[in-house]
Formats: sequence, C-alpha cells, structure tokens
Amino acid sequence: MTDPAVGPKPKSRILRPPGLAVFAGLLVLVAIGWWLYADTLVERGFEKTGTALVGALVEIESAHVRPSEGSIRLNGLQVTNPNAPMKNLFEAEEIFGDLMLEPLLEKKVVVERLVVTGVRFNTDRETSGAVENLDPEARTLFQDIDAWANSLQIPELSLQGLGDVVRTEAIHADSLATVRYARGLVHRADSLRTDWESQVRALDPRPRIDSIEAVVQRLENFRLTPLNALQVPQLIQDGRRSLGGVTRLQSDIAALNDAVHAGLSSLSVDGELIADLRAQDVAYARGLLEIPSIDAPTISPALFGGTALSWLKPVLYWAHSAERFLPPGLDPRNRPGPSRARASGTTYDFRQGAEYPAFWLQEADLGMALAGDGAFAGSYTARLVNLTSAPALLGRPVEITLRRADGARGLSGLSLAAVLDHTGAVLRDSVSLHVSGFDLPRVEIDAFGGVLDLGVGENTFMLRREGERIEARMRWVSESVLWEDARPGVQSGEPAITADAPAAPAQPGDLGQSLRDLADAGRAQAALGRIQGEVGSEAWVRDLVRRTIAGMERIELDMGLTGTLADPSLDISSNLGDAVAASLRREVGAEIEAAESRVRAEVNGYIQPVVQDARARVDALTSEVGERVAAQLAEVEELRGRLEAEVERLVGRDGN
Amino acid sequence: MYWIVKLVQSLAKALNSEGTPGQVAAGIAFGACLGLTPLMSLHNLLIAGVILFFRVSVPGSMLGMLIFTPVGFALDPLFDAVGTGLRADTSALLPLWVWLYNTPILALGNPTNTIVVGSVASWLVGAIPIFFLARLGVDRYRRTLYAKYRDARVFKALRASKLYSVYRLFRPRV
Repeated sequence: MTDPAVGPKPKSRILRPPGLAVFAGLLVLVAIGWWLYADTLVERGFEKTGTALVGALVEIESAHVRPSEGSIRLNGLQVTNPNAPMKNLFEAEEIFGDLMLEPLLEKKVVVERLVVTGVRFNTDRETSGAVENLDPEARTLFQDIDAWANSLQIPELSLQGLGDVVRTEAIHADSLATVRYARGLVHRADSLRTDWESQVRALDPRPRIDSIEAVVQRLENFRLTPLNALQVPQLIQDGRRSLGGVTRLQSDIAALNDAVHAGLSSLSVDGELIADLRAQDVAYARGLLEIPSIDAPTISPALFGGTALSWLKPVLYWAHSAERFLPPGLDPRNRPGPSRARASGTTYDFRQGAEYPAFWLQEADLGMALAGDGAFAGSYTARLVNLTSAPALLGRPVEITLRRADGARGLSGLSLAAVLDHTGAVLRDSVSLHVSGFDLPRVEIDAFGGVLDLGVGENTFMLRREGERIEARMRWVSESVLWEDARPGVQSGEPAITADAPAAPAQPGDLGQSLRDLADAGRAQAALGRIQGEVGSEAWVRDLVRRTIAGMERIELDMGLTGTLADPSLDISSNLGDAVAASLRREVGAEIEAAESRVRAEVNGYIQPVVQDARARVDALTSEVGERVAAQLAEVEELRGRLEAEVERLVGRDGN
Repeated sequence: MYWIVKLVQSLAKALNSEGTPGQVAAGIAFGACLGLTPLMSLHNLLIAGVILFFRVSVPGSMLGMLIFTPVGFALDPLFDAVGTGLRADTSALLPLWVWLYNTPILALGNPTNTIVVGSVASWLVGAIPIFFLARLGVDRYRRTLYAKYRDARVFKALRASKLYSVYRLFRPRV
C-alpha cells in the first residue's frame, strides 16, 4: 500500500525515464550490428579504398577485426593490374596489422606494424579485375595518360613495301608546302599589281607633271627686258604655286613608292624558307610512299615503342597517384563523401594541428619469394616505413627497402630502395629496383611478323622525381632471346632463333636451336651472300631477322621517360634496333637511297616550275610597277630642282 | 504504399494523441533532423536519444522524419552548397572544423562532410520555425477538424490498432 501522506512520486513533465532504457537498447542494437557486420564493413571499405587507389579491382577473401586486441587480419588479397585486368599486380595470402585504438575514435587508422606474408607478383586472375565505375579522379588520370600516349609520334617500321616499285602517283602538287607557298606568292603578286595599278591610275601624275613642265619651261624661256620686267612678280607667283603642286605630287608618288617597295620586299622569294619547305615536302612524300627509315634512332622506337609505353604508362600513373594519396603540405584536402542513398557530398580532411594523420602505416614487412632454382631464388622481405596520407604532418619520408629473409643465403637477385619524400612543398621521389631472373615479356613486332621472346633476364628500374620533373628509366638485358615466327603453322615446324639457351640444349629439329648454332648458320649464310627472298617479302624479312638476332649474344633495351610529369618525352634505344638498322643498311641501303632520290626528284619536279613562276611574277612586278613609280618620282624631283632654280633666279632679279 | 500508410498512421496518431501541441511540434522538429540529414549519422543517434528521453511526441518525430526525408533528398544540392560555403569559404570557422575533425568520437560523425554540415546547419536554422509552425498547425487542427471528426470510424480504427497500443507506451502524458 502506498502511504497516502506521501502519495505516488510525481512524474517529470520533461523527462521520460523509460526512454533511456529504449535508447540503451538502441545502442545495444547498434553494437550488435557492428559486432555482426564489422568484418564485412571493413572488408568492403578496404576493397573500395584499394580500388580507388589502384584504379582496378582490389579484393580480399575475408577480414577479421579484433577491436579488443587492436588487430586486423585480412586474407586472400588480390590487387588487379590496372593495365592488364586479367593479371594481379600482386597477391598476398595474409595481412596482419596491429592498430592503435585511440586514433580509431578520430576515424583515423594508425597501423603500428603490418606483416604481409605470401606475396606473389604478376599472377593470373580467374575473372577480369577491370572496374566499370572507376573513381572519377583515377578515370581522369587514366584518360590524361592515354591522351599523352596517343599524342606521341612513334615511328612505324614496315618492310613489306621495300620490294615494290616506288609509285609516286600518290604525291599531289596541292599537298606540297613549297607549292602552296609559291602559289601564294604568285597570288599575292597579282593582287598587289592590280592594287598598285589602280592607285597609279587614281593618282594620274602625268597631266600634273606636264603642267608643271610647262611652267618650268615658261620660266626658263623668260628673258628679262625693260619691256617685260613687270611680268616677273607674276612669274614668281606662278613658280611658287607650281612648287606647292610639285610638293604635293612628290608626296603622293613617294607614298605610293614606299608602299610598292614594302610590298615588293614582302614578295621576295626566301631561299632558306624554300629549302626548308622542300625538305618538309620530301619527308612528307617519303612518308606517303612508306619508304622505311633505316636510321638506328628510329628503328628502336619503331620496334619497342608499344612495349615501352605499356611498361612506362603505369609509372606515370603511380607517380601521379603517389602525389594524390601522399599529398604534400597541410592544406585541407577534399575527397568524395561516403556512398549512401543521399548525395555523397565532399569530405574535407583537416590535417593542420592533428595528432595523427588519417592513415599512417608505421612499419610493414612484406614477405615474398623469388621462384626458381637459381642462385637468386629464395625468400625476401620488403620493409616499408612511414606510409601516410599526411607526410608533412609526420615530417618523415616513406622508405622502402628489401633484403634477403633471415637465414637465407646466396646472391641477392632482387634489390629495391625507394624514398618518397612528400614532406615539403617540392616532392622528391627516388626508386631503384633491380631484378635478376626476371621473366621478361614477349614483344610482338608486326614489321617482322613475329614475336621476340626476351626470356629470362635482368630488369633494372630507376625513377627520380623532383617537383614536376620526372626521370624514369627501365632497362632489360637478356641473353636468352627467342624469335618466334607468327605465321600460322610455323610454331613447331620451322626452327626459331635463340640468342642463348644453355638450359635447353639444341636438339635436332628443335625450335630452341642454340645461338651458337644459329650464329654459325648466320655466318654461313652471310658467307653465301645476300639475304634470301625477294626484298620486302615475308621470307626476306624473316631471314633478315633471323640473321640479325643470330649475330647477337645479348639484347639490351633501354626505355625512358624524361621531362615534366604532365608531358614527358619517351626515348627508347636498343642494340637490336642498331643491329637491324645495320642489317637493313647493308641489304637494302642502296634501294632505299634510290627510292629516296626518286622521291626527291618527283617533289622537285612539282616545286621547280611553280617557284620559277613565282620568281618571274615578282621580277616582272618589280620592273613594271616598281620601276615605273620610281621613274615618276625621279622625274618630279628633277622638275622640282629646275623650278626652284628658276624661281630663285627670278626672285634675285626682282630684288624680293 | 507502405510509406503512405505509415505516413497516414503517423499523421493521425501524432495529431490526435494526448500530447500537447508543443510536444508534438517538438517531435516534428526533432524528426525533421532525422529526415533532413543523412540518417545513419552519429548526430542522429543523439537526436534519437533526445526524442526517447525527453517528453516529446514519438509519433510526431516519426511524422517529422517521414515528411522531411523526401525534402532532404530534394535539398541535397542546396545542403552541399551550404556545407561547402561553411566548410571551404569561411576561414573564421576553420578552427571549429579542425577541432571537430580531430576530436575523438565527434570525428566519427563525419563532421567535415558538406552534406552533413549543410543539412545539420539548415536544420538548426529551420528547427525553431518548424516547431512554431507545427505547434500552430496542431493546435488549430485539434480545435477544428479533430473536434469535429474525433468519433469518426477512421480514428477509432487507428486507436484500436496494435501499433497504437505500442505507441501508447511512449505517448506524451500531461
């Protein structure tokens, strides 16, 4: 029973205590939801961030978050190569990270230590890792890099037309710059002639000259006598009036004369310009007729341009991405907000005065293995320190080093040293990588109708960036080159070329005939004479390539990017290009020289008459209009002299 | 269809409940925050706590949320502009954003996102007018329409529904 004196406890008009319990229940529900879905959320968040960073699909099999232990474990990481969606840049079996808990409350991830095991590079994917809805910034970056790559002029090498008759019908006079220039001169000369003649007609100096001439003659014929002394003042007045007329006429003719001179000087046929234009026309016509260049500096880019681009474009992408994800300075950075039914908006990161950056990987060890039985095979550990989204806040650069795993012995076939210093306003990156026993790619060479398998060799990569300047260089060296003919049905029936294949001794009829055998064969063939087959035919090209490669014990390929990050220049050199150029020069140098002479003659045939016509028109204009106006000016000047002399004489007689 | 039924139910229960017009209006004003701002945000957990712990009308909150959710979607571009203006163009507020971004727990509420900032700021500005307009509306409704139709079958049916029974647990008491 309730004490009637005390009565029931009055209920609050503002608070609703049961609501607190409901709210607590709501919080419990949120906590249960987090407990149930934290792994999935972390997995999705990791995949989304990774995909945005790489520009291709990043997947993990599972994620396990242990907030109480401050740890996270990721299994089955696959990072797609954005330039080859059916390949993984790398895979990792397990990633284990120790997290700092306090920064997590600030929505910041600080990984004290990360251990990655089972790292493998360049593995095959079962499904494509291309991303349709790419992060807008990554998409723009890819588009910019593709636009840069498309703007590069990579020379083409086609040997198929070598044996053909040079057909100069493709050359049209209208397409030659020299012809256009000369025709322009002729047109301008005709136009100026018409203009000047109309001006001369409008000026019409002859009647005025004749009138002044009459006055001058009257003054000259005047002889002073007592009877005509009174005429002197009138004569002086006439003379002075005529002098005024002469001055105006002289001024008009001089103005026309100046205009004519200026016009004629602009019409002069510039010998140097004509020579430059002719050279351009010859180059154009040469390109039109697909006469291959056999200069060594153009052969290597023609052979390896596509390969170099496919390997160096990712370098540009990663250099840009490093700046994007490791930005310098402490200014607020913006990024797209979280995906949700509502608009995402923009999220700003304020790094100024923060205790922790939004992301900081303090140190990571990546265990990887170099496969094979060679001296370089074995376990390696890459160490990465201070990877952060706010390098300026941390004040320390990202450093990556690589060493042999503890306990492993033997030569190191893999070395890596990288420092990404984004702590200041000027970004300074340097990367140096050397891999021995690297599986070098197969290079398709359309001009030769085959594939150059570079086999296993050395890959050296160097990158240096300072501010907006970049220098990247990749060098491949192989001593086990294999040439494969791309013709259907040739794969096993005809011998291929190997530069050196000690691991696979040559067998009779085997594709992998050793370099020594082939070098001997090449020398034997060389001794027999010229390369077999009709010049430019498939057989001829094949034979040329076989013999060229057979004479090489080692193939080196250098590919480089230099210049600004936005628009670097590409340079490629290879001893194979030099050797091919030398072979071509030896075999078809004379033919190409003859074809080029023919083109030069053909171009000159178009150019010569037009240029001569232009010169003749300009000369005629100079003599007809220019000299005529100049003569009129001289005549007026002579009249003026005579008139001034007579007026002076009369003034002296008159005493005025 | 479900949302329409839900809206009608909320409307009827909020307007006809025993809560004062002020409690219903406060509920609508707080519910507007749930509707105008991104729902899964930390500040909305706080708002939910306020709605539950203080004697504001829960159905009123539901009604406010249901009414203002489509408004929020429609006004997202405006919120983005407001948020961008407050975030990027107002250097005087910079210390506030830096503090919010770097303060534990608060940072989890995504306080530097333009939509969150713009919508919360817009709600803060609009909450008082929403409250007074809602109170005026509820008051007038009860004195006119509700007084006339309180015995109508529709209202009786709603009062008899299970949802109404659950709601009674939280209805405002005077």
